[in-house]
Parts: sequence; C-alpha cells; structure tokens
Amino acid sequence: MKPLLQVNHVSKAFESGSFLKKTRHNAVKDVSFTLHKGEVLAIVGESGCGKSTLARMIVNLVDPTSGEILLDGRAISRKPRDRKAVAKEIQMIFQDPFETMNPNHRILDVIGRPLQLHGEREDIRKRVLELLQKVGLAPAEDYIDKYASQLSGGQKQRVMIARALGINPRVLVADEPTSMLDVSIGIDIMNLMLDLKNDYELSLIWITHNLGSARYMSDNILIMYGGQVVERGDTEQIIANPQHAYTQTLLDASPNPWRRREE
Amino acid sequence: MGLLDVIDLQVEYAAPNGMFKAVDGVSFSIERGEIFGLAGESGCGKSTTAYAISRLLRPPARLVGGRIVFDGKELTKLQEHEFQSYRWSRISVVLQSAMNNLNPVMRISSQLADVILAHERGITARGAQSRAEQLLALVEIPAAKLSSYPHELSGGMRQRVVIAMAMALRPELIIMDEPTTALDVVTQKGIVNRIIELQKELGFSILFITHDLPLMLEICDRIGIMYAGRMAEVASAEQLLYGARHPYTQGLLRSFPSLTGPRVRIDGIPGSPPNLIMPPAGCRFESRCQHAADACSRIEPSIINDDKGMVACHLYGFREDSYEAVTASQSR
Repeated sequence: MKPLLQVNHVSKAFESGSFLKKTRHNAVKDVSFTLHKGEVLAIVGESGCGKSTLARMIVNLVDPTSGEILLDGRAISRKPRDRKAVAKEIQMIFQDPFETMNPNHRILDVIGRPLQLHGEREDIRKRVLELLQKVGLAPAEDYIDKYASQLSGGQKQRVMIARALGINPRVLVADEPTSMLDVSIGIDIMNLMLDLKNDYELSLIWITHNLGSARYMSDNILIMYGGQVVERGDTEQIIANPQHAYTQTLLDASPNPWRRREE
Repeated sequence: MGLLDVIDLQVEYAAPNGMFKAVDGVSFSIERGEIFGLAGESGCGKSTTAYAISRLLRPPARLVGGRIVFDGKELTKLQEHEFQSYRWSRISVVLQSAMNNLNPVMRISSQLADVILAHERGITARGAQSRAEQLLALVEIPAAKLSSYPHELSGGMRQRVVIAMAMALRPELIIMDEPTTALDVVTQKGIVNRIIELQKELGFSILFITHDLPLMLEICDRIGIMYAGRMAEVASAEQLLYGARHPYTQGLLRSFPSLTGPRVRIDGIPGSPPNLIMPPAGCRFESRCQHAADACSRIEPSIINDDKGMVACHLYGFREDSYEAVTASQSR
C-alpha cells in the first residue's frame, strides 16, 4: 500500500546569535518515516528532542532545512497556494488548550472560522452543532454560544479536536494533547481520538513523552533523542523488548507502582 | 499521635456566584519519617489542604474550621508572628512552579545563604555560604554551578535548588505540591530518587501532592485520595494497589494506560465532579459511581476506619441510624 505521508531525511537547524558569532542548533537531524492510512504513529521523547519541531514541519508551520515531506507522493511546500491545500489535509491539535483559543470568541466562531476559510458555504451553525456532537459535547446547543473561557480544559481540548476535524483532514497531528489534563479526562480524550480515527479512517501522529499513552494509542512508535530517531518499530515489541539504551532509560524512568513491591 | 494531625479541616472560597467549601471535613495524619501522598483531580482540594497547613491561604480562601496539630501544637491558634518560627525551620514547602520563582539576578548559592541567614541566629555570612554549598551538593548540583544564576540552569536543576532550599533548616515536614510535574520523566526520576534517599538519611516527613498516581504508589508509604473537597479513602500504597476500596480510587487506578498487561480499552471515570457551591446531599461521587444505590444520593457515607485504612463509602457499611432512615423511607 502506498503511504499517505512520507518524511524523507528531514532536518531542521535553528540559528541564533549575532551575524559575527552564529550558533547553529540542529533540532531535527535526518528523520525519515512513513504513515499509512488509518495508522497511528507515536513519536516519543523528552523536551528538546525535536518532536515538536518535527510536528511543526509536518503541518507546514516550519520549513525543513533539508529533506522533504510528501503527501500522496507530492512534496509539500510553504508557497501560499500550497499551504492551504496542505492545511486541508493535515491538521494539528496543540498541547495547551488554555492558550490555543481566544477566550473572547464563541465556540461557534472557534470551530466555524476554519470552515469559512476553507470555503464552506452551507449552514455553518448546523455543521458546528454536528461537530460538537461528534466530539462528545452534547447537547451541542448548550455549548455553541458559550465563550471559550467558560469551558474546562477537557471541554476546550474537545473543541480543538472538533476544529481540526471540521475540514475533513486525513492526518491529525496531536502534540501532547492530554498532558495538561487530569488523568480521567485525558483517557476520555484518547478514547475519543481513537473512535474518530476509526470512524473517519484518519491517520494519527501522537506526540508524547509518556510511553504508557503511546502504547495505548499507537500501532508503531519512533523514539527520538537529540533530534534523531534512535529506535523505531511495532509499539508492543519496542516496549516489551527495547533495543536502544535510551528507550530502556525512558522505560525505567516511567513511574511503575509494581516496581517497589517487587524489591 | 503523628507528627501532623489534620482534623476536620474546612476551607471556604468566595466565588462570584457564591461561597463554596474547597476542603470540607478532611482528616488525616502523617507520622514522623513517613511519605504521605495526597491525590485527586484538579479542584479536589489537595493543594488547598497544603496551603492551609503551611498558612499560605490568601483571600478569597479562608480557613473556617478544623484543627491542624503539628508536634502537639495547634497551628490554627498561632498568631502570624508565632507561626514564623515554624516556617522553613519546621515546615517547608516546594511548589510546582517554584523553579520559576527563584530570584533571577541572584546567584543560587547566595539565595540559599539568604534563607539560612534570615532564619538562623548567630550564623555568619561565611558560615551560611558554606552551608548553602553543602546543601546544593546534597541535591547533586555540581560544584561548578554553585555561583550560577537561575537562567543558566535547566528546569530540573532549578527544581533541585528549590528542594535544597526547602531542606536548608532541617525541617521535620516538607510539603511538596507537584514538585516534578513540569519535568521530563528521566529528570523526574533522578529528582524523586534523590528526595527518597535524603528522606531516608535525614528522616523528615513528606506530604507529597500529585495527580500522578503511579508515581505516588511507587514512592509513598500511605496515600489519601481526595474527591470534591472530601477524603474518599486513606490506605497504604500496597493496600491501594492490591485492593482499593472506594469506587473513585478504583476508577483513578484504571485511568492510567499501563506499560504491561493486555492492551484493552480503558473507560476512565465518566462524568465530572459536582458543583461545590451546591454540593449534593449524599455521596459526592454518586453521579459518577457504577455502584450507586438509591441511598447514595440522599445519605452521606459514613467514615469507616479499620485495619485497612479509612474509606467513606456506603458499600463498606452503613451507620445504623442512616440505614434505618433509608429502609424507613423505602417502605413508605
């Protein structure tokens, strides 16, 4: 089967300092992977490992320094004309639901605006109600006229998912969408994303530092360290039998209530 | 009697649409040398409880009832200047974002020396400085970094500095509110391991607050689970792991995706906590509980204390009077 998304030898370097004394920071170094239709790929690593920069390159917010990203076999670029076409297919859900919405906007506008921008002509309100229902904010009429600031963190994240889904993308990139939420709410969001993935046959890139959530969500996994992929493969196999020392370190550091009892 | 006894603690907040009790009748005790965990969802009152103990409550929060007994002394009756002799030297606090509260224009060793100079009589500046350096070594800050400014250190390093500061005057109780939540797992592991080593070495008690139940089960001796301002269950870490009794605790334990065992769908805890401005008459968890019976919505669960710990749930016994009330109302 032809992959939906191909990331080929992508690197990103950031430069800082004055023009006399430039320092180069290689945030992502030579990363390649493919994503198929309906696949969930987890990208796991700590702060600064380059996982968020990689995500931003995939959704076309950041230009790679080298390498290319292909959607349906065609390279994506940041030319204004192409950007909109890519946004139509690849949408992102960010980590912090408290900062990704204007608190003074109504939910109708938060979800409806991208629909308008992408040329939705039919009754926007009706579409937004459908989307709210779909992400579990029911009855939708109770939510649509609220302001973003009136919602809880979990409800906001559901709105962000509805906003991303509105234009029927084929790939969702989720950058730690549950890390700011309570555990029982986080698990609801994960379940919702898995259900939507199945209903809409979406592909999902799940970015996290938590191996437990990576195991819960994904078919395949990439472990990143220092901008590079250090290990990749089937999620279950990697967690059961890690090959790279860093993967082992991550596993050892994950809280495990059973560990103390075994000592 | 333990080092700290919290008895029927009540804290009220004034919100725009009414008063509510964020902490409503919470009791627990911490022994000397014990690591006691307090867990629960956002808004359950766990941080408010910590603030009440350390006297950091500020309006619109107000302590309205209950007792806080520390080493036999009733803290709630102390005047502000009397409590000053407890701060840092007997009870200290590490907050989640504390690493961002260091003075940006002061070297870290000087900031520590400052704390020591302010609270310890008869110590020279040089003595305080060398004590500060010893403390930073204790939390494994390399000697070369002693005179760094906070911005030169990583988040994990800064949090280590704050922990060193909390230990500076050898307190008997350190309250840690989500001390590692903002950090990566590997950094968290390093810091938590060091805290436990130091705790064993120096023998202080810890009140450890987090929503990360797996971490808590790994490090704490006993754990209190709070829900909607009330204590739902208190038990040893073993007891919770192998036989949690309160349905809310069971739900929380189920909500963490595991790294081992079968990969099955987890259902979490459906619903959301009640509005505390008008709390329900009966059990506060009733609307989300899969075991909820008719009585649960009307009658507050009695608090059962036995050899397994404390649990507040009708499943584990009815008060005589309340049981009669239920059967009477049902037969009518």
